[in-house]
Amino acid sequence: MNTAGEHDVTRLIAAWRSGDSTAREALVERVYANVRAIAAQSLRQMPCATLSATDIAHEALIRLLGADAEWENRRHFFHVAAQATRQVLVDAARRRLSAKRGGAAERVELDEAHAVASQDSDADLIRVDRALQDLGATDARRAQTIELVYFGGLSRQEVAAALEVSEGTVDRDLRLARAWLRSALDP
Amino acid sequence: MNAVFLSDLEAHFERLRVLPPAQWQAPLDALALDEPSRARLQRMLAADAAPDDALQDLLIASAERLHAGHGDLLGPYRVLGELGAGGMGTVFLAERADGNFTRRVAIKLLRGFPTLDSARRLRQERRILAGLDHPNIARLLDGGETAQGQPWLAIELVIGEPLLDHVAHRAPSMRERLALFEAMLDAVAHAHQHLVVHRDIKPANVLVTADGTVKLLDFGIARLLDTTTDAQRETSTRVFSRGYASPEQQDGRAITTASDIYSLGVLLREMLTGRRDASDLRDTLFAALPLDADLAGILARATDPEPRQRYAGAVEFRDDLLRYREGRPVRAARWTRSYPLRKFVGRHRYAFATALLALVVLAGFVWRLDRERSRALVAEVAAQNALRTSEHDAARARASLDFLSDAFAAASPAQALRREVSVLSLLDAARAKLAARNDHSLVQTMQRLLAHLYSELGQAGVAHDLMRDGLAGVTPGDRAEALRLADDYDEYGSLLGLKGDGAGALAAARQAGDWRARYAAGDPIEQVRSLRALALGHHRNGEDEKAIVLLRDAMASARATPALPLDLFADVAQTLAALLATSGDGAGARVIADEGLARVDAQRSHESPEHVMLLRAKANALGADGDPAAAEKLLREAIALQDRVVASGGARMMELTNDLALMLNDLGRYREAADVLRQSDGYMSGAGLDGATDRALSHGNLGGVLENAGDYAAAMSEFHQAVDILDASNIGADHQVRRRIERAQARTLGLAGEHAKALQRLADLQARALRIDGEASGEYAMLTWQLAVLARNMHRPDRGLPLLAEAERRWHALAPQDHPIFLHVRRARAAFALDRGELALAEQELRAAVAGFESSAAQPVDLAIARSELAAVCLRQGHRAEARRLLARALPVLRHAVLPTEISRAAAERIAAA
Repeated sequence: MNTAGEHDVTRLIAAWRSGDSTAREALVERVYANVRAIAAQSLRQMPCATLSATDIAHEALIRLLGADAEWENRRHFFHVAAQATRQVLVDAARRRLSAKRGGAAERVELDEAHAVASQDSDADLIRVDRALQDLGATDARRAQTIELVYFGGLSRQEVAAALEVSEGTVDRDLRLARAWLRSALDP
Repeated sequence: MNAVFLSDLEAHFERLRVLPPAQWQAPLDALALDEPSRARLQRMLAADAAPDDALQDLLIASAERLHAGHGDLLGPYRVLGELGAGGMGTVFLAERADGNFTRRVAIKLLRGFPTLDSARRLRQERRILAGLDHPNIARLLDGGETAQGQPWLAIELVIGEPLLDHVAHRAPSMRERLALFEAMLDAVAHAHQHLVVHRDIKPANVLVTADGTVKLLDFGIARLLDTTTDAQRETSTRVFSRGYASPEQQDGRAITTASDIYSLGVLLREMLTGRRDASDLRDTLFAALPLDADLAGILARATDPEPRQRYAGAVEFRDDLLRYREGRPVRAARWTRSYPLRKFVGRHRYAFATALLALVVLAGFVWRLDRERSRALVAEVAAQNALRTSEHDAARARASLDFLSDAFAAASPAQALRREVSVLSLLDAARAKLAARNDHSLVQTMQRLLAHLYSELGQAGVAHDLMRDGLAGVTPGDRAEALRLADDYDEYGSLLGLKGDGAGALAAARQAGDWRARYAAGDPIEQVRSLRALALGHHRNGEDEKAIVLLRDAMASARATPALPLDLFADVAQTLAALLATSGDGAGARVIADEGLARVDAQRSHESPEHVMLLRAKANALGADGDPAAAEKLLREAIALQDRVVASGGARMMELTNDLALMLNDLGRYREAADVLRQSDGYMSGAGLDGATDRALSHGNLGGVLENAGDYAAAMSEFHQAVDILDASNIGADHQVRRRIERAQARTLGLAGEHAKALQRLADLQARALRIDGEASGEYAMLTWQLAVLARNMHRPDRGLPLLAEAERRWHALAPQDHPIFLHVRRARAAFALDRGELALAEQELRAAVAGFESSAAQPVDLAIARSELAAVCLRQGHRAEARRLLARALPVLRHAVLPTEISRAAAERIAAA
């Protein structure tokens, strides 16, 4: 089942690398759907395991591209996977928040404490997303470093290679941007 | 806050973060920063110093919450706790929460988010599974999707002991174990009769209740979990349990009822001996019972590696066990001794393959059976309201379902493994069986059902007769019946249309509309259905203008009806856009296609079939609106989507590639177009489409493209085939498809030098156009133009010039000033001028044509032809250098696009050689 997908994703990445920006959009859409499925499915298989955004992106890579994809493809893919993972999480948080606000009939019965707690962290996630977006406007590289590490699951070496900077720069950027985003959450 | 920038704080952060937190305050206070920036810097330092990674924690929490909100409500069920988790998902204990009565159920939350397509299929199959009603099958009660789209199934809660535990502790004797197993065979036989294959029979899916009743769980659920496409599904290997799965299932070959027989055989061996097979070395729960030769033979036959060597069905398996219990000779014994025969059988695999094919196609019938079942359900609901009439209806619907199930079961793949069987022969068997019935109303119900099935197989003739007989004298008694009959009449209308009986098709559509209006008055959805059907009736009758008016009404109604099913909406928008585009109103078609896309995209992903359908409509609108390049791009996008999301091949793919070919033709890329068209034809036969107009159009299109490319002989042969098909299906002279094909055929005749035939055909067509469309119509103008072109090919300016003048006048009333047709008019006038030796006039007209083609986004091939014609005039005037220059630009284009035989290229090659 994966063979067709794999081929397709590789083809999309190649098209994107040769400058076709619609291919990139198609890729994000594709990966988005996959990330969503992986997130839901892995949790169902191992209800007790915690699954980070990083794990999701890695599994998406292996599923869509195969375990031994060449680095140039991995690099492109992780940009996309990180972005898709971020979108999936933020979209889900938005949906939950609006379901809560809109009072969709079947959600009324939710355990209140649980609902309130999750509402808070949903709002936090959306704040982080917005802060990250703002950061991207002024400080694209640092925003991307955060995205690749937190949502894409790249190691610092991989980020350094992906963004073509030194590992020291990655460390500094990460430290700085992390503190910046974290401080955006506080009142 | 907005004013705070990271870059302002970066240097301070780096400097302070290496200090212990206690020493931050003094330098912070000393910084020349405004208050918000200072506070933010302080929070950054605190965050940096914190031991945990709050960002990471937040993301983990969010990722965890992606998982549907179980513990809450699933439809009307309240989840009470978890029963277990398996490969297919998590199982919960739940109760019906609506307070009327409390019923406990098991709820299975299925793994993975389905795609749109598989979600739809899942809903459909769920209804089929809900129809399994047997004391030894845990019933599927309900199902739905969570807010996140996660599918769930509510299943009869079975409190019982796992099969093998029960066997070990409570069923020590052979007789008891066989009795348990026979109950399982009963259950499987029931499911197979409903064309449901379990696919995952194993001890974990069998429970025995306290009163000793065996219950099989998870019937057909393995198939629900499959996300593969229809074509692949029969061979999917995604869900099965290795120890029990048949060899064909493990190898990814087709799965049939025989696969369940295999798993049952393994299970029986395990129930008797504690082990699945000789390689199973686990500790056993109980001591093995001795197997005698007969029983070993039965097991060997059930678990034969070759599906067709196994028992033909669960009933035969059970009969053999019964024989064994009663001490009679078992059939399997004969089997075990016939081993050498297999080599012989191996040589007859083709029969086997045919039977498998039949099974795959049969899967397509399941929804029909299901429709009958839903009819029974609908009728049952109605019965509670209007008891007297509808009980009768419910009984009849059920009787027809039973009839069809019997007919198919009698020739079902399991039993058909040993003989060739086609779907058609199944239907023929059902039809023959029907002839023997004397229950008139059942017969008519079945005739209508079979008519739908024959129609799907493209057997329009048989379908028409069946539908005609099935509808004769039938009047509805209530709303449900009226709506069903309306559907039947819609189908009848389409069948009449295929036969070329436009008037009959319209009458059928009207009848359908009347019943909808009478029994569902004020129901806007039914009203849209009626308008659409009536519009199609007019379209089939060749009256596109009337069809457009009706479809506009349907669109207006659809706009005001948010609850209208999206597929119906997309269908109306798509049909309207297509008809507008065909009528030449490309701009209007674009507006409708865009409106359709907006509504579809607001509700569905870009990967939905409706999106693809409207993308196609928009592409055709763009093409009609004079932008074939943009249309080509959209069509390729639609093809890629269709290929990725649905499947390559099939009817939709055929249509899309056909459109692409026509667009390439418009772009002057004739040879590419011919290739794509042949590909399209491949899809067409692959999809089993052989409706007469479809086949005729397909030949007609290929003929047109071949003509453009200059292969007149091949084009003529295609047109001949098209006309033969229309003749064979009695599609009359006034039918649009026939007129279009004949027009193209006449043009090719003219180009190929058969002037007399072409003239006769065109005159005839012109008369028809005058009668049907009127002389102000585009069709009439086109025919006048073609007559002028024919006169040009015949070098008859005396005939041609008046025709040309008339055509030009008519075109002016229909097309904008800058339409390329007027440049072609100039080319024609130049040709007549040359015939009369008026070189100057010819040169003037051709220079204007070349300039026109150069400045507009015309097809390169048109420009090249005009240049080569101008070159010929230059040559006759002695301007050799200019002629050479013009040819140097024209010839490469012509050589790329068309064959040497194409008349413009041939002429250009001649002057190049001169």
